[in-house]
Amino acid sequence: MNKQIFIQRKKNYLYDNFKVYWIIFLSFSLLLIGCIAVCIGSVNIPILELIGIIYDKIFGYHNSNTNFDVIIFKIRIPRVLLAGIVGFALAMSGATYQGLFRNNLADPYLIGVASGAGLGATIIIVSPLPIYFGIINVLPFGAFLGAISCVMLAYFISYKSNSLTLTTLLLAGIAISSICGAITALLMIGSDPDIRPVLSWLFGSFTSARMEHVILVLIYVIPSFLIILGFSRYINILQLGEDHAMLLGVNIEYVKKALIVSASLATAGAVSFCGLIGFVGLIAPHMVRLIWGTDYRYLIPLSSLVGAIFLILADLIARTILGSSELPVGLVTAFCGGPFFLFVLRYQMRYRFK
Amino acid sequence: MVLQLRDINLTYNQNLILSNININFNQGEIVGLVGKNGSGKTSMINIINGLQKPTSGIVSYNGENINSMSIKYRSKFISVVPQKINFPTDYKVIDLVYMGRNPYIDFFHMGSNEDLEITYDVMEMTNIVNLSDKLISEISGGEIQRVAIAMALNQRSPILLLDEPTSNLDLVHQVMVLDLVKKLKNKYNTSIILSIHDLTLASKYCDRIVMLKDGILFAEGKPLEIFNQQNIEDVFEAKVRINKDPLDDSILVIPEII
Amino acid sequence: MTFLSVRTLLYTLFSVIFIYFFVFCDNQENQNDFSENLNNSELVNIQTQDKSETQDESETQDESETQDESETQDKSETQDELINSYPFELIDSSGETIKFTESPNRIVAFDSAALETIFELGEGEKIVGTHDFVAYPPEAEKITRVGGAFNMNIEAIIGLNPDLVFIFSDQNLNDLRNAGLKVLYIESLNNDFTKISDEIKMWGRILDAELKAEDIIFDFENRLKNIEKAVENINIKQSIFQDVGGLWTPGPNTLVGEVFDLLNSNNIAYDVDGYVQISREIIVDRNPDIIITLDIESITKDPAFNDINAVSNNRVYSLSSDALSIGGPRFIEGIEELAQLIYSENIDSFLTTK
Repeated sequence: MNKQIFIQRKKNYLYDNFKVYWIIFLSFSLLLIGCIAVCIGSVNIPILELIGIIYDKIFGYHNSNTNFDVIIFKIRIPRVLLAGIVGFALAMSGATYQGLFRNNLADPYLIGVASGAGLGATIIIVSPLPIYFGIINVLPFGAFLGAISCVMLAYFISYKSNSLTLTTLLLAGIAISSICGAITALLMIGSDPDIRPVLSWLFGSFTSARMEHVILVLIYVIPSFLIILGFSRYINILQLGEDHAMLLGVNIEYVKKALIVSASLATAGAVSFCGLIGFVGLIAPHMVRLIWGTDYRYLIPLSSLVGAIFLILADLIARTILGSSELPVGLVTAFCGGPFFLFVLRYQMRYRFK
Repeated sequence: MVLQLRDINLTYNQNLILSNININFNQGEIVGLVGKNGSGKTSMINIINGLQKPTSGIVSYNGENINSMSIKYRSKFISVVPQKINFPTDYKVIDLVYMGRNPYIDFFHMGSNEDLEITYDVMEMTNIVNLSDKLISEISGGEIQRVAIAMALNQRSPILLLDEPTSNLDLVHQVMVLDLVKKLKNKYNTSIILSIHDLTLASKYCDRIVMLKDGILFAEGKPLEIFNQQNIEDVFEAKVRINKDPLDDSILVIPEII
Repeated sequence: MTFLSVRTLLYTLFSVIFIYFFVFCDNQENQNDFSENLNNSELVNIQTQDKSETQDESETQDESETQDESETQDKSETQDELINSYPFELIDSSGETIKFTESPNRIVAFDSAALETIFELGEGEKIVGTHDFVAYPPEAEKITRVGGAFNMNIEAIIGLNPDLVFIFSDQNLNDLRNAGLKVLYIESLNNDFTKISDEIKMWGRILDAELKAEDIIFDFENRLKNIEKAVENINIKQSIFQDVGGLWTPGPNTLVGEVFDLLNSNNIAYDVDGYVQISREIIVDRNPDIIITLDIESITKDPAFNDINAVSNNRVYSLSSDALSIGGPRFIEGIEELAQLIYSENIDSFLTTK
């Protein structure tokens, strides 16, 4: 093979045009699905009216039908945005943890984020203090603090003599998770019997999504995404093992810390506003891996986009399938995601797309 | 005198692994580390590449202590082909070889044309250009070893360490790997340190031999000088006969069958 | 590592399924209730039996009773007054016949409604144990607590040496019966609050305080009639939404839902079954005139709810007691409070205040 041809081919390959096109395609589908999700809801808004409302909003006219206006701009758009961002964050940190722990079964809740957030939220709900402190809902902050403190605890337990042992981190995370789970259960048993709010939190729900939540989650997700994307090449090298990665010039302590902190922050931020939504962080990276391969430079953006699309669709089902009432979105992700995942596993789609 | 090991001691759980090692490695020579299993060859390679910090003593490259270098900086001078490599099976050969360019690629960059040219040269030298689109799970053991060497060569370092590069390979591939090492030395004037069990091959390819016995530097010198019956029987505690290859005067070590 | 993750997956799946049923068990129970309505009335009506009567005869009598209820009810009332003696028998919700030979003296009342009824009958000192969440009446504070609905402490119940255990769910029914206790299991009311008087009557019979029970029922029904009279001339129906926490709301076939019907107001959750989490879009679209909630700020501070009638007219209220959530004698107070919130001064003259 001629050197020039080789270089040209490999250059195309390294700046993998094929996968870049997929990323662009998925971004557009995300946009499209987001728009569709805004159009559909438990209150039926005719499409022409919807276009009219948006047209009026953009050009500053005042629309007579304020109900539809409020539903679209104060309920649906924040909700679809939050679902998209949370799906994005969960899939991103799921992919990161899978790469970091070199375990395809890792999920974003692996090192105690979920149970910590659950404990924080339960403490807030169970305690006699009001959930609303002025105009601020303190529940997300409780969840966020719980999540971060659990991750920190696991982190410092496994941080020994200047290096971070991933196996210890995993085991510490599991132990802390079960402790927190036990405390949560204890608090629930000892509290008022009406624990429906806690339950709908534990299953995840975008019911109370607001624009402020979207912005707050974005504050965590955007820097984390940039850091993880920048480090994605190092995640690839980490697949060779920590020692070998070090021989190839990767400062693994630094990489591990940056990745764990940013993935945990993104997860905690996402979890704190919408509760624990399972399966997205596990399924999205896996699907992407089976279809487009393991290269983390592409796996991370692709699975983030797939996660966002998946969660927007799951939330769409959760809020429309029962008519005027809602289903926790975690149930939908479990019921739709599980079987679909099994299907993908069975027919290893990878070979069709190569 | 590129690399110096001075008064190296290594203890692990109060067991002495290496004691009082003093060696110098020169530019452009192939040094063979020989010794029994457990005599400290791998520990020595790990000390030289910085994965293992010695209990006492200094490893210096051009007068600079390698343990005080940053990891990225160090990996530009020293590259390693480890004894056991756990390649992830889901990557293409080109991906893995290209990972060797990591020390030269900055955060958020994909690498330049020059990196690709170097990668091509390296793959051509190791004869794996035609494998570049295959997955690691699809190629043979000898090819995997060549990929690992290509990956280390891609670091373009003046020192290359190979930990038992010929074990698990058939005769043709053993010779192929060692020919490659020799070619490398001739082309880039690289210093090569390799641990090896086959003494006959060692005497054919190495410029200098370092014999280790129970963590102590037992003998050091040209293969012809130190591969005598006495030394080999002391180090390996086995009976051997020594013959000379009539073609190139290298040493043939033949084990005695008792 | 793989093992742990697989276990986590399975654990999540199972807990999802488990809690799904746990959350939605209300709905299922309600559906059953419809079919069991006939059965229920049969249970609560006290079966007086001569010793000569056989079981078969009593069953045929039951059928005839359900066919023309009013007649037989009158008959049984007169019979009660005439006979007014032990022994008598009750058929409880599990189909078991419970025989009473004398008034029980040590009762474990594992139900808030039953506890309130017994206190109202003046027999409160006979209660030796109750569940953890009893808050009313204040005298009940001193009664031994024997656990919650999902962690009933059977040993403690046995230790109290009761001669009657009353429970509202059959979760621990068999365990209690196997322990040799006399257990009366009446499913708690999920709809049809007129049955409250039947339950009061039943307790009056059991505790030999029928006259007192008649008084309470008379008062209950009298006040109910007053409210009915007050609202029957009101033509403008106001729409109402009750939030019992996290936008969970009662549908039409619940105790509270029926109260809304009684008060001639429109429940905005008219198309749901049991308790559900309603979508915010629906609230905005159906635009309730009145909102009853636990936490007023959670409604008024929500930007999406700014323009709905209840918020702009300052008609977001929270109830002063939990009377409406317990189907006991105090339920009428809850109805009265709700009526007052809806109709304010228009209704005051009709209410018999204590």
